[in-house]
Amino acid sequence: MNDDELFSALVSMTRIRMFEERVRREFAKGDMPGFVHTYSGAEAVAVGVIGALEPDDLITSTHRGHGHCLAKEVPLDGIVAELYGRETGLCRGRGGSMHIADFRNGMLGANAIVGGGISIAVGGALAAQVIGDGRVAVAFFGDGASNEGVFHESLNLAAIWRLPVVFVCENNGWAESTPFSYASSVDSVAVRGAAYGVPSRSVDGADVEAVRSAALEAVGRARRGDGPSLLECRIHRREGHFVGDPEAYRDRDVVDAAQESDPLVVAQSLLEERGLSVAGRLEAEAAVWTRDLDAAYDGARAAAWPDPAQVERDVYAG
Amino acid sequence: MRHDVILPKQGMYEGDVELIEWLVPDRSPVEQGAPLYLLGTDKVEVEVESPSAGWVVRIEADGFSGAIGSVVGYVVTDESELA
Repeated sequence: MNDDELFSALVSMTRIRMFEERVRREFAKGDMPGFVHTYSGAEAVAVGVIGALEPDDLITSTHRGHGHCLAKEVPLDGIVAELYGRETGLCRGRGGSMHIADFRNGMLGANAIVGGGISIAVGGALAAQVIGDGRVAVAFFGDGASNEGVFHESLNLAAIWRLPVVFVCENNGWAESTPFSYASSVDSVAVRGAAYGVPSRSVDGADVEAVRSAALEAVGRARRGDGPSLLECRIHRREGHFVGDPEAYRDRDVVDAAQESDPLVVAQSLLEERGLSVAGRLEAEAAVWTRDLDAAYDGARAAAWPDPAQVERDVYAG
Repeated sequence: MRHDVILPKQGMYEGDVELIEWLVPDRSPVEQGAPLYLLGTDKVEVEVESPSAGWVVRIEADGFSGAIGSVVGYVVTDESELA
């Protein structure tokens, strides 16, 4: 990545981190329904991978999907209003954090079902192949999902049909409270691609340059018609599984270790090693983003609730 | 500047929660993120962190129960605001 690309990635990652820190603070107040999972620590994956895509490419997300939404340029106001269950939200307030979707921006949906988005991305890739529009689909999922049947079925199907899909595993080492080292028969999700003849790589998910480089290779393969790829990004989960998780199952030193490999710090250090002073520019970007966040929260809290008479709208029956 | 210390929402639980026990003395200095008090819901106990560096002032006492969002104390960023 050249200097401008790397700085732009750092700004995008900083926006995601600030968004999640704001979510944590606002959620505590009690007026955001349901519960939320933050993307902190995984920023380089969303920004690295989605930066390798074209705007009309497709993604599917997870229960921890705010970072994917922001990197895919899903409108901020619609995201925040959706967190608050308002009519102005991206799903008219019916979905909340774990169901945000924005088809206009190629975001096919967050998903509360572990692994649920993987096969949807395969469907998106099949559609692109049939239509022949050259689009690529990316499925984001966690290490826990790689133990689900849908992961294996999806890789196999994508491989036999040579579908333009990239499977991106965000391996943060924890399936909610179960360690990857306990729940997986192999020590890397990338190993599993070989069983289906899917080219696979494992990269440091805190290094946005490494993620972008691997993603460009995989997306290029898909775009050329050479079929699916699997990309495992090794990351640390900086916080609990959900906001408010007391994390009684993790030793304090594991949590502390997660703080040491911060993708934002890694990117900023790289820029400084190149002799660029970015702190001032980053601060200016953060100030603008803070105002955007303020406006999004004010707007969401003032927005109308969905009309109960409309409860059957958008519900498919028969 | 004054930052409220509230009973925060934890996970999906939306009933009353309890300030089990303050972990710092009244009017003492605290760092941002330092544990201020132990919070209890029907399921878990968690340490609630300070919203800011400064001096903590207690409003409610150990054992207080209330709705999520209730203000139980505050942190002032300037010692002169303690008066």
